[in-house]
Formats: sequence, structure tokens, C-alpha cells
Amino acid sequence: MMDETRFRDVAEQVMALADGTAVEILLAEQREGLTRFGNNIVSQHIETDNAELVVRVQKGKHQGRAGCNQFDRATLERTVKKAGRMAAALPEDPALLPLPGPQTYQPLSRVVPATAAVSPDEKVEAVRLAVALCGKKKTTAAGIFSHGMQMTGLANSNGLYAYNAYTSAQFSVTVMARDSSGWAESTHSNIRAVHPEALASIALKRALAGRRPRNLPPGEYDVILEPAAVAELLLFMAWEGFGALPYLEGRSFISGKIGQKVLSDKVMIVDDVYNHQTLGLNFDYEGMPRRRVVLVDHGIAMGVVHDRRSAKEAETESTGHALPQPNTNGPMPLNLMLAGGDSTVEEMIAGTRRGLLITHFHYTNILDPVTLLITGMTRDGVFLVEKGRIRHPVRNFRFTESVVKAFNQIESLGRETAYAHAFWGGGIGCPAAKIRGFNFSSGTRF
Amino acid sequence: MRDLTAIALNTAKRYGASYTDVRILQVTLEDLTVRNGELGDLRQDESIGLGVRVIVDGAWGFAAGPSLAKADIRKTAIQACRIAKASAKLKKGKIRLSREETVDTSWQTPIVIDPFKVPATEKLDLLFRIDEILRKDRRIKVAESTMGCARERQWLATSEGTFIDQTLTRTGAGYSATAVEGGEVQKRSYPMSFGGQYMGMGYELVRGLPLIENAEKTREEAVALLTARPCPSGKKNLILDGTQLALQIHESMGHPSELDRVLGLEENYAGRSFLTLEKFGKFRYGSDRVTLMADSTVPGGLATIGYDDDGVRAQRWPIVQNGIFVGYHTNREFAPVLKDGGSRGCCRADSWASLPMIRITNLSLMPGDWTPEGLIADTKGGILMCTNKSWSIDQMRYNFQFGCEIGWEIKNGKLGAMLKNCTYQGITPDFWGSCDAVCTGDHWTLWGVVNCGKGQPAQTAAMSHGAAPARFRNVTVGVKA
Repeated sequence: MMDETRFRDVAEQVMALADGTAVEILLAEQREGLTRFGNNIVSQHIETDNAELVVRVQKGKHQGRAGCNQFDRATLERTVKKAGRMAAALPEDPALLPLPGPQTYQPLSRVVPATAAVSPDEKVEAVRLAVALCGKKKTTAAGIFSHGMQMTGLANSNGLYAYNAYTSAQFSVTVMARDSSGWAESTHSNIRAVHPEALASIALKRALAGRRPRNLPPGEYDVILEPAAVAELLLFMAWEGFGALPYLEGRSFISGKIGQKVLSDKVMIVDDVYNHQTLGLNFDYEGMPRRRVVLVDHGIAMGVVHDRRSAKEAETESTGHALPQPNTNGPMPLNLMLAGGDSTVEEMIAGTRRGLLITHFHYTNILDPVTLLITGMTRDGVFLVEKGRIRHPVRNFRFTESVVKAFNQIESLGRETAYAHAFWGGGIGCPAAKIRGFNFSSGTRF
Repeated sequence: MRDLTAIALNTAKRYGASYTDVRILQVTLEDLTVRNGELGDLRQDESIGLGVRVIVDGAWGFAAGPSLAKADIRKTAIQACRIAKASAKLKKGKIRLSREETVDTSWQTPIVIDPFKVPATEKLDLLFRIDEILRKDRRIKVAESTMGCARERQWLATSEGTFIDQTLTRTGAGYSATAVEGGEVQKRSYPMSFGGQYMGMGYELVRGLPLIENAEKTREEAVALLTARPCPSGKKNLILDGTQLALQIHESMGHPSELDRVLGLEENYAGRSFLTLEKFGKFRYGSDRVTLMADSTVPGGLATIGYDDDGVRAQRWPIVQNGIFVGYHTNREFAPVLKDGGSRGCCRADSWASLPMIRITNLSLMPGDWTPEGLIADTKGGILMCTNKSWSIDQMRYNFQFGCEIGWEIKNGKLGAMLKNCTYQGITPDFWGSCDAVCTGDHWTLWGVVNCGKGQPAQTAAMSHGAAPARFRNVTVGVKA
């Protein structure tokens, strides 16, 4: 089990080596175990640990940055000197701000010792039970069972000191039948809240229900998106829309529209690391306290997230969303939550005359940042819904659709929210959603 | 380092390993970015660590850590064995590696100018000069110029007797200008998108790129795109430049020919492949004009190596020969599935903490006999699209859709109006089957892809794809939203 000791020790040493120069110390330490399986056997199985130190030196309006992963005196000295040399040699950055002073942080504890302590044997046993279900039905399963702990410490010579850690466990499984597949996934700080057999059972059920898919023509369909599919859309909103940089540069869908209605009035989006479903730190990479930020309230654009640099430009305060400095992406919301509504997937199906039920999306990418036009594929279960019932599975589609348009055409949102990952990662709390007139631009061969 | 690797090999043997490999990897990297006249990113990082991969009771185990203290190396090796023993509780057969020659050797990327010896101030001076040119129009809201270099020195030792000391160096640079006006956002990049051109070379690459010379054109094209006509929708003849073709090759030929994907082992994340085993040697993947060569030996490639992380020598082999699918990317674990049985040497990890797995190597479309001018003159109606903007492909690698930064209408053999928001979509074998012309070697460039993601936990690999402009008939363009 990792603790704060190494961070305190390294921070003290670096501070002493900096010898009065303004310096920031960022130490990220992680331990991870991952059991990967495919074709109903363990295919890869790893355990790793590492810690990466970044030293950032500021001399007036000059800065230098250097990193290492060894913490002996000689390496630390070399790293501090390298950052100092860079600061002396590189041009002045007129917008560089002095290092912030001590901050007060809202308590946040997401460390579950059981998650960090699980053994390789325990994971393999859990995987064995999960894939056994699939084998009995003549299907094959592929996926991962991972667990880990991440610790982040940030301190500076101006007296700021921040430290936080969290554990996480994830079970993700894809079950393959001859002409279909199903998928399920769960992530939680407590490994006891992740249930591999239950997840395998859901994925298996989807795979079996998806057998003998039929062709449907591309075009506009009403869709019922499971939470992971909704997360896929929200990820691009986070990346392209809710950071201060695209907003200030006129590249965001809400640039110049704060206070205006931009999405359906059913939409309430916040960035909130303190929500029990998400994982993260209670400070950002400048050491500023991470705040809960309302981004969209009943469809009205309320704001974006800031770091200190963008906040100064916008004449506001940092919301505590800085990425490691310096950074070309600007501040970013890392704990997006779409509030739930008053429906369930079953009710959405029951209320659908003709539409598609979508499990999740694959390899989605952005075409236009202002309309949030994105394209991607459906994956692991698409079903035609007619007259309130699931009729039959259908082959996969490519969608090409504006997220802004889609979020203006939300008919209902699920009551329950889930912590889901998009193809590119992230981790977003969101419910299922029923959306009218979602555009599928082409089909594929399976 | 030989002594340190021996500690891991001996420890693993004592704990029951029938096979062990040990990689000690030291990485040094530098990244510099200038954004809108300010330093956007600067990194000078170093890291070192050790990864131990073992087979115990016929199953894999892998453990890694940053410490090279002898006691910690022993602990890491013991942990790898413990993990493998756990893995063995859920296996069908024993892992059997392809037979390969053992070597005791060294290899390094040939470079002329060590990029780490060029002062950061000189590099930044170039980036700031580019930045100044890019921002000479008020409509350019984001100017970003980047330069980076990385060096990986790896000591690989196996229980079969192989020891390889290998040093890989890569360098690159590029920039982009984003124009914004009236709710329209358009971007142009040079020499290619997503950071520029990277190669397995030294700083001579940067000095040889006409970066300053193309900055004004890049800026002007970004601004012109704001008022350009949208890409029309329909079936059109399509000419792709080499930078776009590089990613087309990567997504629709590179990934589907990875044998671990074919066998279903990547299903939960990156997906599988339509190039299943029964198609080997007989499936028509493209037209007669389409020949794709995998080559880990080509000078300057980002995946150009002496040996892979299995200790297998770099090779050159065809993936598609005159339109027929004839080769996979393989490693020692999965190569025995095929008749010839030998690994193609495609096993790579992105760090000491990562497990080596099959990665695409340098994969290139072989040149044809056209000139770009001749190709356009021969095209009555169509579109020329350049520089990748977005990419997406299904998990079997059939249905793809790409967006390009810029396009031009082709009418009666001549380039016409500039087009914005260019997209095209297709099904992989149909698309490559429609290829009827490829330009000559004079117009062929090895383009670098530095952000290839695969695996769980996700790893990033770099490789290059050589291509000259090529034409495809009756392609769906201007995908409607």
C-alpha cells in the first residue's frame, strides 16, 4: 500500500536542492494489476508500479520543466538543475503567473485497501467464474479485470501542499457468439462493488440476443442509448466545449453563448469530482482546489472550467481544472456528470414506436468542434425497437451526428446514472438517454 | 546491464520459469511546443525501469518496476512467476514460442545530428519564427508549432541466450494554424497533422524539412477554408495525398493484419479483424495495383529496429501482393498458428512497464507509374483530398470514415475550387479494390504515425507508412450529417 512518505521526502529534497528558487514538485505514483483474457483463457497478466516526478522551476517570467522516475540524490539534483537551466535559457513567458500559495481542500477519500490488495489468484478465479458462464453457452469472452491505486502529490516553494489518492477496479467483458457480441463494464473505487460474473452474464445475454442480426438501411432513427453510448457523446463535449481555451478562442459550441439555451432543457451537466460515482483528485495540477462547476443548467450554458491562466484572461477565478503545466490544451473537465431524468430503459423501449437500442459506440472521432459533429460505429448489440418492444437484432451502423443537435432532441433520460468510459477513455457519470432523429450514415458487414 | 538482467533470468528460473525475457529500458525525451507566441509545452524527461516476462506452467506472467537494485530485480522476477502461476489456472494449452535464432548483438538508429545535442534555444527559435508567420492573420486564433525527440536504449536478455543492446532515436517537427470566424473553424497543418512529421532519424530531419517555407501557405489555406465551398456529397473519383493515405493504410491494412486481433485477443478494446485465417494467401484485398510491404528495416521508419522485443531480427515481407492478402504481423507467441511458423518480429512494448505485443511495423503502399500531374489530368471529375483531420473504423476494420483538412474539386483534368469539411467513407476491400492508379517513387514519402493506440492497459506505438498519391474510383464523399 502506497502512502505519502515518499512524496514528503522527495518534495523536501527538491525544495532544498532548488535553494530558494521558485519550484513546483508534482509526483504521480501508481500501482496496477491487470488480468486480460481472451478466448476464455488468461492471455496477458501484469503487475507494475512506477512513480514519475516533474520539477518545474520559475525564475521571474521564465520557466523550465524536467522529469524523472528515480529518486536518488544524484537524479534529483540533475533534474532540478536541468529544469533550472531550461528556465534560464528559454524565452520569457509574459503570461506566466507566480506559483500559488497554500490552499484549503475539500476532503475526498476514495482509497479502498481491498482494491489495492487483491491478488493475481483472486482475479484469475473471478475471471474463471465469469468465462465459465460464456463457455457453457458456446461463446467466447475477452476482457480485463484490473485494479490499482494512484497517488498524486503537488507542492511548491510558496507553501502549497496537496496530496490525494484513489483506488480503482474495473471489469470489462465482451462476449462473442458466431455472428454477434455483447458487452458490459463496471468501474469503482471498491473492488467489492465490481461483480465480474454479473457483468459477464449481462454481456452474454446481449450476445445471445444479438444472434442472426438483420440489415436495416441507414438513415434517421430514434435511439435509446445505454449510458456508455451517452458517455461517448459527452466526452467530446468535455474535450471540445467545456474548457476555457476553446471557449475563449471561439471554437466551443458555447462560445459567446453563456446564459443562452444551447441544449434541451432536460440537460444538466456538471463537473464534480465529489460525486460518489466518479474518481479523481480534490485539487488540480496547479494545486488549486477542484470545484464543482455547473456547465449546463436546464439546457442553458452556465460556464466553462478554468485554470489560473484562463481565469485571469476571462477575469474570473480558477475552478481548479488545470492540467499539468505548461499545457497546450488549457483546463479540462475530468469528472463530467450528466444528471439523470425520470425514465428507465424499459420505459424508453415501451414508449418507442420505431427506434434502435444501442449498447455503446466504437472509435468515435470529431469532424467539427463547433457543432460537435462526430462519427463512430455502434458495437456489441444494436436492436430494433418497434411498437414498444425489442423486435430483433440488427447489423452495426456508422453514425455521423452533431452532439449539439442530439442533445437538443433528448426525449427522456434514465433515472439511474452509471460511471462509464468512452472509447478514448475518460470516465463520465451519465444515464441512458432516448434521442429523436439520430443520424446513421452507413452500414457495415456484421 | 548484462549482470542485472542475469539476476532476473536466474531468479525466474529458480521459481519455475521455462522461458524468461528481461528488458531494461532507459528513455530520454524532449518535447517543445509554441502556442500563440508562448511556450505551450516543454518536457525534458528521463525514466528507467525493468520488465520481466516469464512462462511458468505454460502461461504468461509479467511484472515491472523502476528499481534496478538487485533485491528489487529479484522481487520483480518472483512476482512475474507468481502471476504466471495464477494465469496457468485458466489456460487451454501451453504457450509455445516460435523457434528463432539467438543473438548477442547491438543495434542503433543511424543518425547524423544528435537531436539532444541541439540546444533547446535553437529549436525554440525556429518554432517562434514559424509561430510569427502563422499568426500574421487575425483570423488565426490558434497557431501551434511542435518539435520533439526521443531516445530509447534497451537491454533485452532472454533465457534462451539472446542479449541485445539497442538504441532507437526519433525526431520530428510540425505545425498547424486554426482559423476561426463566424462560428466556422478550419485548420491546416504542415507537413502533416497531429504534430507533424516524425522519423527514425536525428535532427537532420528537422533541418531538411521546409518548415519556414510552407508556413505562409499553411496560414493562407486555413483562412481560405473559412469561405471555401463544402465538400459535395455523392460518389466521386478520389485522389488522396500521401499523408492521408498513410493513415488509410494504418487503419484499414495495418491493424487488420495484426494476428492477435485476428485470433480475438483484442476484442474487448481495439476489436478484431476481417482478415481471418482462411483468407490467408487467397483473399482479394485490393486491385492488382495494390501492393503493401511491411518493412522493419527501411531507413528512417519509426518502427525501424534491429530486433523486436521478442529478440527477433527486423524483416521485410509483403502483406498484400498485387491485391492478394499474403501476410500478417506476427510475434513469437502467435506465429506458430501459421504454416511457416516464424515470427515476423512485430512484438513491441511502449515502455519497460508494458507487456510486449504485436504492433504494426512500417507498412507502405508500393509506388506505381503515375505522376500527380498526370493523375489529375487523367481524372475527368473528382476530388483531391489532403491531410488527415479525423479517422474512424469499425472493430472488424470494414467500415471506415476519414475527414481531411482540405480538398480541391477536379474538373476535366484540372484542379478547381478549394473544398472544406472533406470526408469519405468506404468498406475496406471495396475501397482498395477501386484503386486504379498510384504515383511513382519520386512522389513517395515515409510518413510517421506516432499515436497508435492498442492494448489494455493502453499502449502507444509509432510506425511509418510510405505512400505516393493514389486514385480510387466511385468513392462515397461528403458524408451527410
